Amino acid sequence: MQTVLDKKPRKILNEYDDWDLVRSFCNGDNECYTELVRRHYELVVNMSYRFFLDMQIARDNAQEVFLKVFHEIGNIKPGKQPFVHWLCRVTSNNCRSIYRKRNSEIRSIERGKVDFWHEEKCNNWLESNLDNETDESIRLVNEALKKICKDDRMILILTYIAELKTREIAKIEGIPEYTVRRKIKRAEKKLHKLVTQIALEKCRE
Amino acid sequence: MNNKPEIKKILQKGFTRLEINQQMVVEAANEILGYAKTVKKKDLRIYKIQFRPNRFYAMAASIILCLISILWISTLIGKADKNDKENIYAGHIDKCNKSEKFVILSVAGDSSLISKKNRDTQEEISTGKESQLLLAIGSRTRTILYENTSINISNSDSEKTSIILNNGLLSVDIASGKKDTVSVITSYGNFTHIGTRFSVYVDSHNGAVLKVYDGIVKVEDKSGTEIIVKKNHMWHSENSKDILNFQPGTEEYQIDNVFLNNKINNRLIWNQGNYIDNNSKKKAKVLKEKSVSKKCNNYSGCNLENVKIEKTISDLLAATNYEYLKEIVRKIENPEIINSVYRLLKDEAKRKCDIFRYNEAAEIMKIIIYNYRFRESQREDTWMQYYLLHKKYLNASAEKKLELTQEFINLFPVSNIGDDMASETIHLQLMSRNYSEAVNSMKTFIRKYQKSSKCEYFSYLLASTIREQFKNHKEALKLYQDYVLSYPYGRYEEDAFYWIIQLSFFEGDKRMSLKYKDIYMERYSKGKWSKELESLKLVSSD
Repeated sequence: MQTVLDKKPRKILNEYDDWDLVRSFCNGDNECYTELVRRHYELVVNMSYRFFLDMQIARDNAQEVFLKVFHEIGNIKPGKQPFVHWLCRVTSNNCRSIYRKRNSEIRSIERGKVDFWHEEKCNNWLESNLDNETDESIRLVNEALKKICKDDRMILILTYIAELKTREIAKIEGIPEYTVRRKIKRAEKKLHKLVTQIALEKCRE
Repeated sequence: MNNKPEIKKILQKGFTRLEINQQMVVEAANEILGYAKTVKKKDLRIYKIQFRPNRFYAMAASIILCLISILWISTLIGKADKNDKENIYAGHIDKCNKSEKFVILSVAGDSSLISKKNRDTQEEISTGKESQLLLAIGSRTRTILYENTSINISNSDSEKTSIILNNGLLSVDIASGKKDTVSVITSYGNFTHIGTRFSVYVDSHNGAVLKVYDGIVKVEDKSGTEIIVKKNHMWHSENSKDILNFQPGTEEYQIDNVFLNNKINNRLIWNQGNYIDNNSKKKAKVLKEKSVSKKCNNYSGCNLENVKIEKTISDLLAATNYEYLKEIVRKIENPEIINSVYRLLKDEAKRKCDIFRYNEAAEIMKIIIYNYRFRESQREDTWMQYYLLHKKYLNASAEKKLELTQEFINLFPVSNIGDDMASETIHLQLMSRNYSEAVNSMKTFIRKYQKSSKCEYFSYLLASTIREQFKNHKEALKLYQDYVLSYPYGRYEEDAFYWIIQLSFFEGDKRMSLKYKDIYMERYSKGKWSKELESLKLVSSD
């Protein structure tokens, strides 16, 4: 199979399956790696952004994730599940590890105060692409997400941003399917409540 | 409450993915690629590892605990080993020291003739007309009391054991090791061992006769003079100053074999294992090896025709003396007896399997397999069982299984199940990644078993192995073509067509590739490769 792919011209790089790209990259084709990044960079950045709610951290995280992919790609075996699932797992793990690290750093600086959420400084870059209504709803959801614990937040991200099914999330997170379903329900309820609260407060203002 | 639909809308839109400029993505990708090339994997790892004092202390504590436990276990094992080395009969030291001066290991002949009396501190034991006795005295002495023999045993302290031989023949085997002494006292003289095997015969008419088979024995005669008798020398009380040579190989020398070979009918073997501490496998192994290492030279003296062979065999099976059993079975010539022996051995092997003694079962099976006196079908059946035993229960490695299959081919060259064994061999070779050997075996299989149902499978597998493992596209292409020709509408035809198309395309033969592609599309328009082959058209047109 590898030899078949090697003979394919560059033109049809778009037609490659993710795993085909991985195989070709393992054989030394760096362009396939660029293609992989091009395909999934947006997803990784979006997932990280919703987790940290800071575009700078999100981009750093995306860079770190793809660096990990670069180094570890030789060790993974092309399986039945899509490449995206593996990437989502790497992203979620990296998000959590960065969260832990930053959390401990801030703790050591200001004891007792645990808040590393920064003001969104890069929002100009986002606003240009979106209409006002969508932008406003994103802001509301982001504010609500701030108040949700990291595990629930990650599950919501995997459900709505990565658009994965409960079965797939269960595999990524390593927890039973019914637990995932229950967690999603609970997180959705919480988010609904928080968004209503924030929206009402804004209306009052 | 009116806000509900609006909030739903907010939630839907709130999770919209943010679009990122493609140019930015490409820039980011190039940046990552550049960075990935400069940063080594190790650097990333170092970056990840952080020093956490709590974890470090926990790890250190667990390592120290582990080390302590390992040291403790090793000292325990060391102690056990030391004890074993010092005394191979350690299994029953305690038994002897605590309760009795001796233990009866086995009885031959009429057990009712054996008497045992207690006289103060001395215990008397004697055998009758047709009885023999195997005893363990003290911590490391084994003796055989032959017919009409009586002895008194007294061990006043743990370091000195004395056997008073009243009359008869006594054979003594003492394991070397400890400093304790064993002496045989007769009315004609005292015999003290120095790490040895010897026998003493006492008769009121002829006096005492000592034969030394191993080591040195110190003799103190009536007058009190001490003489040293060395290996292969004998001493007689009549000429007490002369030490004579004698030819070794006499029966009483080999205690184990003598006891198994004795001519007495209705022999009882109680429990040979009684001698061994059943809980200690190690000691059992040592004893077993010792008994096996002693070759049977005196078997010729035993008249097979008069002895019931079946009983002998069942006795030997009970004693797990397979080396000797092999010798006996080899000498049987009567076909009726051979059949009954086969049944006996087969049942015993089955029984051993039932009680999870697979190694012993394998030993018994080996006796049947390598004995040409059994019928070929019997041997073949047993071999199959032997192989399955190794495969399922003894967890044999692929190499071992390969050895066995090779042995089968050597033992049964014209067997009916030759093709099955050959296919098993091929699978094992593939499993152990001996691809070149597997290819040779497959070629032989195709040539040898043309009518076999597995021939089709192996001719396809051969082509695939050559393509995948040896990357020899030309040969693989030829083999695939051969397969397609010899097995039209075969089981693997679809795949064979696919590979012919691909390989001929790579070899530059586009015409052949297109030709086979058309055939494929005709036959398998909705086949599993049809989509991929359609896209191949693009490649060929470019």
